[in-house]
Amino acid sequence: MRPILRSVRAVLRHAWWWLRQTSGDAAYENYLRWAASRELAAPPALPQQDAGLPAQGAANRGHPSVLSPEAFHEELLKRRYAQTSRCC
Amino acid sequence: MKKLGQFLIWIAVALAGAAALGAIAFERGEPLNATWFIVAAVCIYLVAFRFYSAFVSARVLALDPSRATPAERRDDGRDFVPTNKWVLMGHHFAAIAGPGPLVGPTLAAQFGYLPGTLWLIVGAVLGGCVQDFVILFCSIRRDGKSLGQMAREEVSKRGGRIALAAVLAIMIILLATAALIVVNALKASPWATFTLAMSIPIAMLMGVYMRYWRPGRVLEASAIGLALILLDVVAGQWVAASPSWARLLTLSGPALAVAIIIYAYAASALPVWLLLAPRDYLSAFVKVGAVWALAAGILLVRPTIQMPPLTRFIDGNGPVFAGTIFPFCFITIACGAVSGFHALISSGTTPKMITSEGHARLVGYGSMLMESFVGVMAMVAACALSPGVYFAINSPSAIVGGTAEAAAATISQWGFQLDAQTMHHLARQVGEQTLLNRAGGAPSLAVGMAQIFSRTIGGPRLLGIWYHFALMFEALFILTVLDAGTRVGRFMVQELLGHVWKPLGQTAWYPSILLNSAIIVSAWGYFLFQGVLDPLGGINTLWPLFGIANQLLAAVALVVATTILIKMGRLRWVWVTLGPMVWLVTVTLTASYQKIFHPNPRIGLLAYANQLAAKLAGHAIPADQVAATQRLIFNNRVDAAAAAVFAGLVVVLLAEALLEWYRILAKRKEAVLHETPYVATRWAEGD
Repeated sequence: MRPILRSVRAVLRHAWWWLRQTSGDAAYENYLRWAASRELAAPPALPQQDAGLPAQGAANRGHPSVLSPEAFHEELLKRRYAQTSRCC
Repeated sequence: MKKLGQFLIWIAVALAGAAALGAIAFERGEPLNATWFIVAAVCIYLVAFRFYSAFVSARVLALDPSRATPAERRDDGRDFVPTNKWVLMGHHFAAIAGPGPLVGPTLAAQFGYLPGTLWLIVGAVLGGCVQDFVILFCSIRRDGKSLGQMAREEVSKRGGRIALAAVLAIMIILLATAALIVVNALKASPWATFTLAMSIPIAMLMGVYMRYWRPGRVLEASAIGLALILLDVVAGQWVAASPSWARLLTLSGPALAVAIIIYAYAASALPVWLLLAPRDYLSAFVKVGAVWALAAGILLVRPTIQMPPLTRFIDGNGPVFAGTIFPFCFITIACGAVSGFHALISSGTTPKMITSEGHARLVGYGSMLMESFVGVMAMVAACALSPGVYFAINSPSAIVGGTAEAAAATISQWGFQLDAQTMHHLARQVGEQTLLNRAGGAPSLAVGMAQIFSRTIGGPRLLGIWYHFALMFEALFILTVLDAGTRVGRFMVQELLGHVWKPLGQTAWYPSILLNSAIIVSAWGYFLFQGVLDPLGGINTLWPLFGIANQLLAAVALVVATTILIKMGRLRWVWVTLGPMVWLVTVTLTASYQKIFHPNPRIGLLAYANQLAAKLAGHAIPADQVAATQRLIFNNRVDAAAAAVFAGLVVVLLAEALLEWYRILAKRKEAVLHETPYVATRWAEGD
């Protein structure tokens, strides 16, 4: 029984991860990881996959090159809807 | 042993697909179950993906997973973002799947189920999937360049300008057609109008939530939005039951057209986070959910197909739109089989996010197979309706009459049983005043979907809720195409006018935003009004024009792809893109010619204009209709000019490409590819 539950949990975890990635819910976390890898910011404590948004203030203070969640979200949408993003 | 097992499995899949397709094609009179459609489509898609796309990957394109993609080389955390292939497939599918694969097959069902179904499956496997895949590959090899940029570099400068002109033209016609479908779906329907109107404040609430309260929390906001929108669908029936609210929300075609134009203008001019983006999130979730629900519903209910394989309207006198199977079936169903618009997505965001060249096959070819499947499901939903009901909903009043009695008499004469009581009863069941003369495909598809859904959950009691849920689902994402398209169109006009006066090109300068939004909205609004006022329903003219424009863009994409294959030295395999290209050029030019010059006034725009002009000259038009007739004559001539421009663009681009191919093949010109230089990937293969 336990292996089945483990498998079900793994499938659900993957599905949730996929949903968050595809919907854009995890976009800011991905961006912070990218910023950390480029040393734009002192590597912040990266959030767990499904945890809440990271302490963006900490990432921002003293690291102006890293966007805040608000600024990142706004910029993301502006760029996305400046080109053909939906087909007929 | 393992190989033998795999071989036998694929043989079984191929045989099952062939048997199901045979059952569909050779059905003669016996009731046909929708399961055959699903089995035929899925088996053929599996075989095509396993073998044909593998052949295109290995032999034709020679995908190289050792080569770094733009996402790896230019990783900037924003545009160029390496993305898991399954996530990217989800993105790509959500971007390419719009209303086209639902509406096109529904309209083409007037020929019977067979021509449309075959075109959906064969067109996708050999044409649409190949186009999406090859253009994605070409763009990956060119740092994610757009179709226009690739046409300019690989074909000629003029080719690039033609591609840009084609994009703007298709955008205008697409937006007008999409808006007309919504108008026809909401006309005289207070329930549907309320549901859709309420989606605007719901989207704005989501926008504020994601902007100020919980920035970027897409899933939370979408869950709230979805709950509200479902409540909204249910609440619509109470609004419709209230005489004063029902009167207020029972709108005519022109009134709805004005409302939609104002909405699109606002969506284009307002900050994107407030209305456009949240509505897009909402519609994406509703779209994916409804498509899965439809697939599950068809598998559970296994409805019987009621439409014959071929109807009498293959002769070109169909009531939904006029024209014979060739070329009109092939331009009516664009998205779902081959759609040029996809080339914009395949050379837009997707190539900038792909992690490995090897993933292009799954993302490009695989996503288009899924869209084709959506088209097959729409065909099933439309053909599961009684043909009499289907024609009563989709035919304009000028052909079947404006009352249920007149429609029943006309449609019964065509050989499709229908009595007026059936239409009255069905309208009552779905909570509408009437279902007659709702050309555009959306209402008949909604009835088909509602019948499938209600046989799964709720029975006839919930038919009204399901109908309005399906209608809301269609209208919601058609409006998303409308507002996102208007915004992109505004950027295109800004770019053009920026050459005339620089401030007009500034995308953040508010006077420029307002002026350019007005220009693009006026352009498609003109065609929308033309459709709304057309006594033949508008769809008869606008949908073929949209199909021509869309397939024109597909021809442009395939010309670019063929040129690149020739330059790559893959002349032996050039038929992979050349075949679909020749087909599409033939279809587009034949359709354009017929739409302009056909002597039947229901097909030929000039013949219709001339017929009206003759009536006007002979004083056969009542005095109060003279102005409207003059407007119709003018509009038909404008449409004929638009079709001529589309055809002219194809001919010029083709001539440019043929010249380029001749020069290269005759060794008069060196074949210069504009690929970015090879850089080895630093990543291990896979994700």
